[in-house]
Amino acid sequence: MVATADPEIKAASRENISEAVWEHKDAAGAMGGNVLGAIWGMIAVYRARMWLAIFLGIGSALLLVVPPFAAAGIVAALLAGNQSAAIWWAAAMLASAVGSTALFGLSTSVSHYIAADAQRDQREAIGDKLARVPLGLFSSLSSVELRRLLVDDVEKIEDGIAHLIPELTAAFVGPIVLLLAMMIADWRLGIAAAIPTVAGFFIMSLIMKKGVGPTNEFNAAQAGIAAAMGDIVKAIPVVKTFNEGDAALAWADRAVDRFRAVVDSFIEWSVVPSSWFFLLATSNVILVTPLSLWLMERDAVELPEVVFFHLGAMSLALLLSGMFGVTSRMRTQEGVVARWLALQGQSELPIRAEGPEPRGAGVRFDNVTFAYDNATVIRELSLDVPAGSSLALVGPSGSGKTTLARLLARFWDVGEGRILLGDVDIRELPPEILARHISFVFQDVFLFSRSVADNLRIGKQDASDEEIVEAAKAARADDFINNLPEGYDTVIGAKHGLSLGQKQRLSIARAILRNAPVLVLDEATAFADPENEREVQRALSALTRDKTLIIIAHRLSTIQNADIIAFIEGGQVAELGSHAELLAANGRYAAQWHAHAESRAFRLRN
Amino acid sequence: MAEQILIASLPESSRNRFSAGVRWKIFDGILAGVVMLNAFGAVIWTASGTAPGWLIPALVGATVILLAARYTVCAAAIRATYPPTFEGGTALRHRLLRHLVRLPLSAFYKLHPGKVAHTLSEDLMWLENYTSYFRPVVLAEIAVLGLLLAGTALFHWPAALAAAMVWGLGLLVLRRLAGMLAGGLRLRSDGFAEAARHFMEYAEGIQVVRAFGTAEAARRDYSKWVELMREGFRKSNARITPVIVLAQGLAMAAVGIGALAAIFTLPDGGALRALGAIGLLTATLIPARSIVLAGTVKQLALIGEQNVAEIEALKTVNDGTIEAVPGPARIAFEGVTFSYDGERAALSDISFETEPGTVTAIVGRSGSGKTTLANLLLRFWERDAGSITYNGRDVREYTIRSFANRVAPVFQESILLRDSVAANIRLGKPDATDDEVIAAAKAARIHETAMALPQGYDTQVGAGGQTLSGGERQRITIARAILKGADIVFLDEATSALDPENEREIQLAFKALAEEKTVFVIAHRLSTIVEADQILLLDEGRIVARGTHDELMAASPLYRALWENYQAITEWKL
Repeated sequence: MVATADPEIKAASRENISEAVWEHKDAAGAMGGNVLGAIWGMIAVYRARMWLAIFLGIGSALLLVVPPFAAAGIVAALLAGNQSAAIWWAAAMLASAVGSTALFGLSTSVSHYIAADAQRDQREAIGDKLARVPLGLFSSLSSVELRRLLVDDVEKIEDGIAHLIPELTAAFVGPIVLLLAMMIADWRLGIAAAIPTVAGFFIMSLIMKKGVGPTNEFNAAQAGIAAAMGDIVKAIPVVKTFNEGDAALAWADRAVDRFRAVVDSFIEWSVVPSSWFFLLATSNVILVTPLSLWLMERDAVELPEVVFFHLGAMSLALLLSGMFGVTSRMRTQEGVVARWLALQGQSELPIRAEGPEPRGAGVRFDNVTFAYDNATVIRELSLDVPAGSSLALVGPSGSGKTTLARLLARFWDVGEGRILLGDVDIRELPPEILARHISFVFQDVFLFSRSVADNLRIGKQDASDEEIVEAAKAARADDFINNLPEGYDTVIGAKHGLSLGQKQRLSIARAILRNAPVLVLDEATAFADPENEREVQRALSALTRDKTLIIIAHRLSTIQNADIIAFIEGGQVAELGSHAELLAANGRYAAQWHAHAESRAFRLRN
Repeated sequence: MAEQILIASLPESSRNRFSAGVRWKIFDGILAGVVMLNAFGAVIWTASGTAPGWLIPALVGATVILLAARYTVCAAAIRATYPPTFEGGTALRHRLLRHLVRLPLSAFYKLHPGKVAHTLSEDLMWLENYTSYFRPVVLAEIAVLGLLLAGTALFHWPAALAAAMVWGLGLLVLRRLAGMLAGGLRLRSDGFAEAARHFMEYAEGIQVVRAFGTAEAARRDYSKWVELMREGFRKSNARITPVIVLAQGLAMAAVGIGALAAIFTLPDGGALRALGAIGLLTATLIPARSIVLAGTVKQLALIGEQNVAEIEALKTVNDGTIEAVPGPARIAFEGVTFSYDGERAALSDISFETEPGTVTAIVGRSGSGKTTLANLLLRFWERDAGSITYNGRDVREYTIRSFANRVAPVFQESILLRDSVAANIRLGKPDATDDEVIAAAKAARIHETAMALPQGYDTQVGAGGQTLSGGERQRITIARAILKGADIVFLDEATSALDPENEREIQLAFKALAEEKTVFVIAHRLSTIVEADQILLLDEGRIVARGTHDELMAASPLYRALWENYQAITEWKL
């Protein structure tokens, strides 16, 4: 991603992103704490199929209730000496096994199909969203964060859609039906069978409350590990050299140790007491057995019922075995869904499908104010760039120069005022028309891992091979392209890496192909090494001829011939004029010019 | 065996503790099984009409005692299995981090940073979950299952035999199907990596194609991979689902068949015993089900184990034995040759020597080998032939740590950790006093910036913290290098854009850092090159000229051309 946005913008958007997308405060609120409900909302299109999956799952769970009945039936039949009835009951047990398994298989297949479709929809929606949100939104996301949104989160939602929704429904319905049947058969034994499970849940909720401190600390420490690992892995090439190695590792170790430090209290406060839950959940017969024996001695119940209640009570444990790990899985889903909702909630740039053509190639910033969250980055700024003239933007880092260039590209829309291209507000221009009139060369160049020619065609989709070669020649890229193993068909990637200077020339070739009347150069001359830079400069000279030019360059000698130089500071035009005029004024520009001259004469020693 | 990765490397006492914990948990399973056996035994006894009067009170008493015993055993099991697991997880993270740091940089072309971070956090958490909780539980459930089956056999052996035969047959089938499951999982993870790369490319390239209004092609490509991903997911599920479903169905079918066997082999007058057998057999459904459920966690743990193994399989750089000590530093290259891919030489026959306290400028076109030379100097990569010596001894003889302590590199990219300004500077010397940190910050011209931050030196920087400009970040890394007090300084002179005043500050910081050091600089600035004690002019991986500026101007046409280029660039106007 472009990592060189103005620091002010980065600060503001980072704040915005971390609150909205990463800590999902608002989104968690919007979800109302009901993560399954939110997932249910995400699969609205597939509700009919999801109901099918749920009903199949419930059917499967209901058939699981059959074995206790069937066992009781066998007992009753055998006690009555009716072997054929017993065989029928055993056959029913076998059939319920086959049926329940088949229904579960169908249910999970259906829900996985839904998950596959929903994941596709989700990715498509993200793809659309990325194509419509202000570009500034995700220029501040690191590639690790992007990967999480685009790849990992979508993968994880499978658990919610394919497993949690249908399986949890079934896990509750089966035992509830069983409990109802038991209550009808004999309420005393029914209660005895239910008590351990209910007590288990009660104790669990007590522990959850009591464990708030340690559990939260534990979760926070786990999250801390994830963050620290992300950082340290990224920093490893530096860490290697710097034998801060040790210090940086110690730093990462601290996150691990913080985790280690809370583990003990977490175990004592949460894990050990939770074994009561586990114990009670697997001890459903402890009350049923004595009570049923007592009732049996008094002939209040028969053996078949007793067998039924024993097996029924044990089956209640299935409810709990279905709950294993559900809390942590739900927590994962919460994060995933909250980030998804936050991304979907990001406002999109309003796009016009049709609009007027710009009248001419002049650019005018008309009283533009732009704020990102609370930070005002551009304040009531006006600048006029007549068609065919050149404007240079200079000023300290973070003054708003890059933001101005990006506002022109509609990375965002202005807050107040307007930006005119050929006397038309750029917001009224459909994106294709705007793109046809303005081209950009930025400091960072992104190349797709496709062929060189394909990468150039981004500038003009229907460009012929001749046009491509011509543009590459003008951008002084033809020579090195021909030296690549397969020339213009060489796929750019790890195998055929290009130097920054070479990449820059490809991006200039793109802009040449586009041949737009307005050209924006944001530090396009930086980063290249001498030989390349010379080539890049020559390429730029070819590109800028007869264009309306807006250029940002820190090397002030580059822009001293610009028609107008605007010194930007604090989002406003502090000084405006030609190089000679600004030097004569002896203000901020002159100070920078002198610093520039000084740094050119820099010496390491003396 | 996924648990071994956490446990095997622990000290013997921890390992013993862990095994004891697992045994406690299995013992708990036995107790749970006993509760069930007691229940059915008592029921059948009572039904037979021969049960004594004390049976119910005895049962209640036994239940209370068993429950208390189970709690004690469970708590003991948790206290014995959880801490060693987390100890092992912590140790494994320590070990992996140290391994990663010792990998040659080449390894990082193969490792995706996101995936590595994922392994270190999430994969290991699943391993910890599996090792501390799921595996002991499964073992306990197996004990329950075994006990119930034994009880069934005691009541009426044909039922147990029939069920056991179904299970045995089922396990055979499942074993054959395990390949299918693994195939399904592999299908998914293989397609996943490729698709993920394309997704990322779309997200990262969208700015470009949007600015050019040509996003459709990229969007179409993205959609193509989304669709492929969906197909792959469906296909892999078609393989995975039947295996899991079959495993669940089998346990239930075994019960039905066992019951049928019991009915068909009913002994005369032994109805009650057969009933007990059927009851116990039906009860096996519960442990069987939770064993199946834990299977998915085991798969996750196995994937984690595989990912860890992948990282550990990468070979680290061999360490030396001598300690490099502070003092004047002399570096010499002699006939050094190096190739990244084993085919094309990136450096050939590089020989030069630097006196302590001198400045060596490395110049040349892009691709001429400047960065490679720096990579060898910093021991990021190992040379193929020739020798690199530090104060007369092969650099490989020194320990990596002590040698790295002698070198302070400053790169164009400044990486800060999520921590305070002070902590980020202190990375250069962990035991530095506050005064030393401030002195370094002053020398690196970052002190005033730091003081102006909301919490001064305690302000959090790095991802998620206070945002600093590129120049400020770089000055923090220079302060770090100054604090380190190394004898060799490596500078990659910035070509990127900083405003002139910021650039001036950085230059002054550089100057403070380079004072009296043996300096290597990949130089882009005329003035730096002119003052260098020696200039190495690289071309196509060879040193084509070596000497001072004046000497090279006189002797090397290539240097003269380069020099003219430099001048033209700096004078260039649009």
